[in-house]
Amino acid sequence: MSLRKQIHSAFDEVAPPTFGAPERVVQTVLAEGSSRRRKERMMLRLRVPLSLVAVFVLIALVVGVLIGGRLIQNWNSFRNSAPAGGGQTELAQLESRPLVLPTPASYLDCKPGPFNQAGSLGKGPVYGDGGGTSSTSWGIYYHNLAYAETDITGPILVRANDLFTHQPVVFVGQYAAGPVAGHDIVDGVAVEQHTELVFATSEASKSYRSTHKFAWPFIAGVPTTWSGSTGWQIDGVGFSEVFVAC
Amino acid sequence: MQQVADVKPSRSSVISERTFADLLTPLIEPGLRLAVGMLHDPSAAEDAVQEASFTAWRKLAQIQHQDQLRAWFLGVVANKCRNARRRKWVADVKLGLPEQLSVVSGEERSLRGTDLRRAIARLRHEDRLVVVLYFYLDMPLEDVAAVARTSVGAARARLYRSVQRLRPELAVEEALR
Repeated sequence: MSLRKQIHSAFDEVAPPTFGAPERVVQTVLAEGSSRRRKERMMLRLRVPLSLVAVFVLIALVVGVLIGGRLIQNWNSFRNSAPAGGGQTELAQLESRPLVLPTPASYLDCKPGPFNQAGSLGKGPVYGDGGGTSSTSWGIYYHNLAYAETDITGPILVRANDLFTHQPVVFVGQYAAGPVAGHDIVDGVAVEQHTELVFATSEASKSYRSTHKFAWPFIAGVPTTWSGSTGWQIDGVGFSEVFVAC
Repeated sequence: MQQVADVKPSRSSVISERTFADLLTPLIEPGLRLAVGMLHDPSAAEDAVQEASFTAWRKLAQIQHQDQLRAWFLGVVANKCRNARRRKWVADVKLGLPEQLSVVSGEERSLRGTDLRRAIARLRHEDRLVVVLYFYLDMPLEDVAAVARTSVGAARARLYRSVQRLRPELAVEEALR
């Protein structure tokens, strides 16, 4: 039996008969729609002054985020530049490693993996899991999680490319690093798009301690024109791993 | 290809009840099928379609290109399903599957259907949407992309990825038949 027939059969088992449903739904809308509209118009009168307040609050938030973001950025750059030794040198060495990603000839040749026993991408020591999404007019941002179950010395560098358009996957928010590729507004927050992620075990999130020894939640973005197939390279001191998501 | 998001509002904001009924009635049945495929819960599916229909009542007059109405409405249903599932996820992590299976006949077939529904329910919203539209509503990829508000290439890639997750042993081209 084809997958299409299996899916039809599986859904038909739970689908109720739709006899009369279209008329019922439309009649409910026609019966309740007008009263809903009246309520919405009444709410609109209340909302006008409230919306002014909301606009002022929003402006205050944006200004706060911009100033706060700049302060955090300055603090990070100060903190990162302070040691001026081992970490930066090791990171520069990792960045000098070439990206060696597979080059599938077509979508059919794109095989995702490798996966570990938990179903996460990667052969280790760092693994990746996909998560929810946020959309903008530029593209889609995936709220992913990278994790490791063993101690890793030094910085961990993550880079990724679209395997067909060869555009870099961009990173925003925490752990985003490297060259700035662009700007966007994600979930109402102005962000810089970077082409690298840099993790360190000392900066792992504490929110995942019950499930992973070290975890780094991060946000990866792809433009709307992406192919759906990406190759990822994770470099650290003494290891390099590549996996494919498609 | 023009995306559904490009639909421009017209000046008129009111349509007659008759026109609304004529336009929307044929879209309810595919909307229900989509919602059932996304939520696996008939009553939640009907609620999602009902909510989508209220949205349509408010915004239908703004749709300039009537040929995009189907894709627009199914997109609204998909969004309602996403919201319904989020609420359900917070309240109850059952993925909409019944506590007890009502096996009428062909126990093995029903169990296989349950496994498949469970596997589809585990897909991400965007991946599940293309699977349901392509395999259950039998829509061509161009229409799937319009509903999912993405490019045909990205819709195809999502479909390939989802098929490989659902049936890793199947060749993708074979599975897409």
